[in-house]
Amino acid sequence: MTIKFSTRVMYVFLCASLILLGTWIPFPANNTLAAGCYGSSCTGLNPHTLGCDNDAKTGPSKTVSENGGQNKAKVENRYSVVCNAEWERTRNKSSGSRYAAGSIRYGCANYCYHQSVSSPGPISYNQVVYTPMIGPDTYTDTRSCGRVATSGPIPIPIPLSNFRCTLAG
Amino acid sequence: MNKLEHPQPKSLLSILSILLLLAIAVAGGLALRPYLAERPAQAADVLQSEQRGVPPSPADSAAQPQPTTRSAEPEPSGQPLPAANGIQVQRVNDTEVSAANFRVQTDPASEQKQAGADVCFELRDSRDWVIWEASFLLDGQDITANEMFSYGTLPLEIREPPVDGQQRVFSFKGGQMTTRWEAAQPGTKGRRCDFLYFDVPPGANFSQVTIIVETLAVNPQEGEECTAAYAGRIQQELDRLESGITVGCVLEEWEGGGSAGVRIVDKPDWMSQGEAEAIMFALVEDVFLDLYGIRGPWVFTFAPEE
Repeated sequence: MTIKFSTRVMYVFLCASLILLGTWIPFPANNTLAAGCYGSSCTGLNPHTLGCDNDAKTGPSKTVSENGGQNKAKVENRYSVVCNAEWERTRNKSSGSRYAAGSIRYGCANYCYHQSVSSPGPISYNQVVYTPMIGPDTYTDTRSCGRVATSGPIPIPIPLSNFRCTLAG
Repeated sequence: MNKLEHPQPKSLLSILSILLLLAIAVAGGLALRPYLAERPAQAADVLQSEQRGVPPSPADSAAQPQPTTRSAEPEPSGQPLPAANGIQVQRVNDTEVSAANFRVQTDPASEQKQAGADVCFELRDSRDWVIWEASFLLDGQDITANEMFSYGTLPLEIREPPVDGQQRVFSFKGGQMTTRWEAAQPGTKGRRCDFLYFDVPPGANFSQVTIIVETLAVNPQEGEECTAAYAGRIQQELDRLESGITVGCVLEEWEGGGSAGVRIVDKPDWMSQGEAEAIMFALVEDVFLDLYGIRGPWVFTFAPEE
């Protein structure tokens, strides 16, 4: 009888401990499930393929209008906290299909390093092109530059300029 | 060995019973988790800041169909703007937008001047809401349609809508972004603040500047540039016009980067590509804003030389 009682106490204790343990089993946060890289390991990689766009937010942006709005682009810096990485995105806001290109520039005294993209053909209104990512391990700030044009492909990297680039951020 | 101290299962049945109990116990514990949770999980790199009181949400919560302007008063919620004076607040389509601290600054590297103000708007949810379209008047003249024109945003702070009494805050300063969690009082709303500016045209000499936030929108993620709702709605509109145009999704990869969006994949033979694009592109912005945007305008006028 004493042995049975002790076994029951043991089971109860075991169950209580496990219930407590169950409350502590860590769940990964939802926004970390799809991320496939972090920081410098993201450099040169596709933000969508790696899942870094899932939590992306828009940093500095620039809307660039040329030829009276015939060539209009929205240039954005995009960043992911989960991936600790950022990239540039150019959206065609012109009245017709346009070649599009963008660069995220970083490093040196004048942002001499870059990751860039240039569309091989015209893209539609509201369609985007986006660059590979960079991890912020070796620089302090970035500038995102982009443009659209009726002819192309547009040479990359996009030169640094106040007109076509975001403010540093 | 004393059986009282070390009871041993002596049969397969006992082992199975223990395993069953283990499973039930762990499942019970997991089931209890939601009721024991007090706050959302935090990423390892998120900094816990000091608890700070968050002022209540804007007083006017009822929808008002027409734009309204309130007198200048302290910023209604969260981090105060760099300058608290001269705040203009407007509510349009049940969304409050404020503007303050108009200034002209010069980029030290290029000596290009930028003029703008700190613009804040309510966030309806934690998605990536941005100022989607803006325009600017200098002394009543619309400069957005100039031969060459550019404007931009520089984020100052993003406060996501609170979850379980906690609010994630993104702060931007000197090219650096930091994130932290803060306690939020009930009723606190999310809010994003940007320096909304335009590059001052050469020779511009203005006594009155009007900044117009035309639309706000959720900026699509790269993988959501062509949702079924968006592409489907465009196709629906094209079909309603009996255009014969068919659209499809683009999601391409190019050496680490890529492209995404909606494009024309078929059209009548007699229709030129330009004609097809003109028909489709005329629909896209309205469809996009219907699904993901809030239409303004929110209009703010400053007299910088007074």
